[in-house]
Amino acid sequence: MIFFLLALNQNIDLDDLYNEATTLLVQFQTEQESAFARLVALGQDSVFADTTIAFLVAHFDTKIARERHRMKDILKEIGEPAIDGIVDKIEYRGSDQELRSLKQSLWVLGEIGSDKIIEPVSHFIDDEDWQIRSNVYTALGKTKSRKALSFILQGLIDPIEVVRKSAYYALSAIATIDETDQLLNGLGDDHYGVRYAAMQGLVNIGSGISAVLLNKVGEHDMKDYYILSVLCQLEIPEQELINLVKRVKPQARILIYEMCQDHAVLSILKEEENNVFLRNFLLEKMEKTK
Amino acid sequence: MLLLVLIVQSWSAYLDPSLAYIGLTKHDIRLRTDYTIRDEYRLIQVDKLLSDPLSTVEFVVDMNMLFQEAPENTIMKELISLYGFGVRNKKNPFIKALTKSFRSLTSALADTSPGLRATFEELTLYSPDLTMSIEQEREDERQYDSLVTYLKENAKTIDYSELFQAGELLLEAAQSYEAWLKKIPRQSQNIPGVSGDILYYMEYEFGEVIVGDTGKNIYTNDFAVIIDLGGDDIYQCGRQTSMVHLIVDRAGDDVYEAEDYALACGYFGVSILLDELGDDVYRAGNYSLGCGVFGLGWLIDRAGSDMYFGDSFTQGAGGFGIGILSDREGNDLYQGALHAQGLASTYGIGILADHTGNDRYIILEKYTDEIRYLDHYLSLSQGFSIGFRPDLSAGIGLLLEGEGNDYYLSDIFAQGAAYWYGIGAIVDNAGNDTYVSYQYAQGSGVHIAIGALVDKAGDDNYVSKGVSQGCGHDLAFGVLYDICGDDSYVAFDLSQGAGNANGIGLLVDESGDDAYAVKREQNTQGYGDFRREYGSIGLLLDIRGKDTHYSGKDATLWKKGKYGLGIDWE
Repeated sequence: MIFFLLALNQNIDLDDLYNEATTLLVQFQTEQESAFARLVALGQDSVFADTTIAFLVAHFDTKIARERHRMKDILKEIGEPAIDGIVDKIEYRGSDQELRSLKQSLWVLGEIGSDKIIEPVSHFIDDEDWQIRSNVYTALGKTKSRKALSFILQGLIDPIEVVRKSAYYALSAIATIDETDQLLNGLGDDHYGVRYAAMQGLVNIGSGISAVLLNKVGEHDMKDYYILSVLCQLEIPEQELINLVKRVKPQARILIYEMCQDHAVLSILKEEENNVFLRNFLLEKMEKTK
Repeated sequence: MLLLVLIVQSWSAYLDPSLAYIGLTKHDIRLRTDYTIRDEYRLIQVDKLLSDPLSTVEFVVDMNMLFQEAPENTIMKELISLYGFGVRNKKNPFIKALTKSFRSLTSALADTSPGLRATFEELTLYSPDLTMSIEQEREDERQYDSLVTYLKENAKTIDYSELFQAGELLLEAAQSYEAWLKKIPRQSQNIPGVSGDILYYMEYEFGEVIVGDTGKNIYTNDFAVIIDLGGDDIYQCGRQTSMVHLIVDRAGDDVYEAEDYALACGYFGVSILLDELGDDVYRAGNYSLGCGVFGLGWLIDRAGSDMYFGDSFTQGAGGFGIGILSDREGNDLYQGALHAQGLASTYGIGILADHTGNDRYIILEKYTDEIRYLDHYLSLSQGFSIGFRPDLSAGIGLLLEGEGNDYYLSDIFAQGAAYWYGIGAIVDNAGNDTYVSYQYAQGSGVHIAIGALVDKAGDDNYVSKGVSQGCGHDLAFGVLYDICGDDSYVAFDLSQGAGNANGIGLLVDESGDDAYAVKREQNTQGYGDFRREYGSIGLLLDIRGKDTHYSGKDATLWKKGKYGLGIDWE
């Protein structure tokens, strides 16, 4: 209320606030922070919100990256009240071929994150531009809602690796044991972003997945690395992990050694280890756990 | 060549076994070429290296070998082929080559948009005003946007194939003048704009041609072609006005003095300055000393310890054209302020190549970096390439060094760095070298670009504050690759094999007893941050030698971030 009264008395100029909030010049840091806060407050105000959000959305196709970043931060701070204003204009792709307005809409909606965005965002799931598809999956992932699952599954086989990465990221946010097969497939993907997201999805499923994963160890070197990454983050008995030491290559073994904290166990592992890096790693760790 | 192949294979052989410790393979070291829509000025080599960043070292080392070993006409053909243009094989005698060069150039520029000159100058010679208000900043941005749009739409009004052919013909002339000299009638003349003995003067379709005798001459007129047979000469010819411009000086300790647009300045033209012998001084301003802007400029100095002074767009600088400075012998000093010493802008190739001698490469503190620091200065130099983000890709900027103990000094954006779809690199073959910079330097790719510093031998020192020494920032690739010698690396943060915002950074040291020092251990020496829901990649790979690290020691490995790895193999 205080801010509202203040604003009434100050004849708000959104252009000025926008310019200050998105300035590049290092000497205007104080003005920038103040303008940022005022735009957030206006966007959350019952009287000024619609005008402020519409104003910001109208700048979504700016070519200047820092403006796009700053607007994302402002609208994320405003939160759910900003969604309707963005969705209203979501069909506008932008003033040039880069489709900046639509990309920005998807990005900001994802950052706000809410079930409300699933329907308008998933409308672009088959877009011919791979960055639009990628942004769609990222946004759906940020909702953390199972309602997005059917859309997300489509992206797991996208020919563009960055899109698959986003789809797997989205899946990782909502995965249950029912999505185990898809996530295991992802561990063998060509792109490390996909492998990482699939691994994270398995971690998010929790200890219920451990038996399946333990059975998979030894089938595929790259997958072993990520499977062990998962297992080391789950609450399973340390001995079960140590039992895997001889079944995997050094590059995956180190993950078990990283997790192990018992000095006596480390000492035994060191005696059996013939990889010089891992022996030195174990020696260092033993020093720390003395 | 065999040695290089073995060396590249050597570190390549260590790459997969190293990367496996963080769940990666060599195939993960790649970027895309279509994060934004491809503009028509992007050189194909940029796309090739983005798709396969690990081939960067091979490409830039090959380029250095070309400049160190190949004759000038081979170099010219290779550079023109980077634009995808074919080259001519026919040889022409001197005057015919000059005439044909002039005609090619006239044809190339026949449809040039009239506003191109002013537009490019305004974009590249921008000098920040530190008292600027936010309103002025926005006005500047609108102006910048409108200028770039104009450039994008109108730079294609030039026929670059014809333009480079004019350059090739001019080089032919520079290489064939001796036969012509033997035939000309020699007669002493008094010609305005020159003092000293003159052997020949004639006006041709392409401009005035003058031949100076072996004594001292002072040239104050802008002749299209000057052939000087010797003596300690002074050139004060002012701004180049001829479209085709050639100076050949066969001997003597010469002084070349000019302000802007002079001395091997291919500015809407082609220009070659060939100095065969002597300790020379070259002093000029902007657009000078081997500069190609909508043109081709090549300064060739074959012998002597020389000094080069310029300001911006100088000493091997190219934008919408090719700019080269090549110096074969002597202990040389190169001094510039911005856009210098192997700098490429859009559709440009800028190369500074020095063969032997203990050389100093200095970028003065003149243009404040108002965006980041009020007490640091933009360099945009020394193997650097920059585009007009987000509209126009950069080019290929290379500083190529042969032998000698060299010293490189710059501040922000330099020493093997690139910004926005370009390639920037330093390659130094031998000598105990010192590299000093502050940020975005020494093998640094910034915003979808490739930056590389390759030093093949010598005990070297690398000093920079951050985003340096093998750092990739924002979908970019940066590599610092040092093959031999006991080296020391000093940085503060985000350096020495650091990936940031989905970039890829590699610091590879093949051999020698090295020391690595940093302030912020957490984001250096094999670090990859996490951005856009996936990781950046940072790798510090030391293959042989007794080394000192802040993060580890010999025969150990360490991890930082999701995809950051330091590994010292022995």
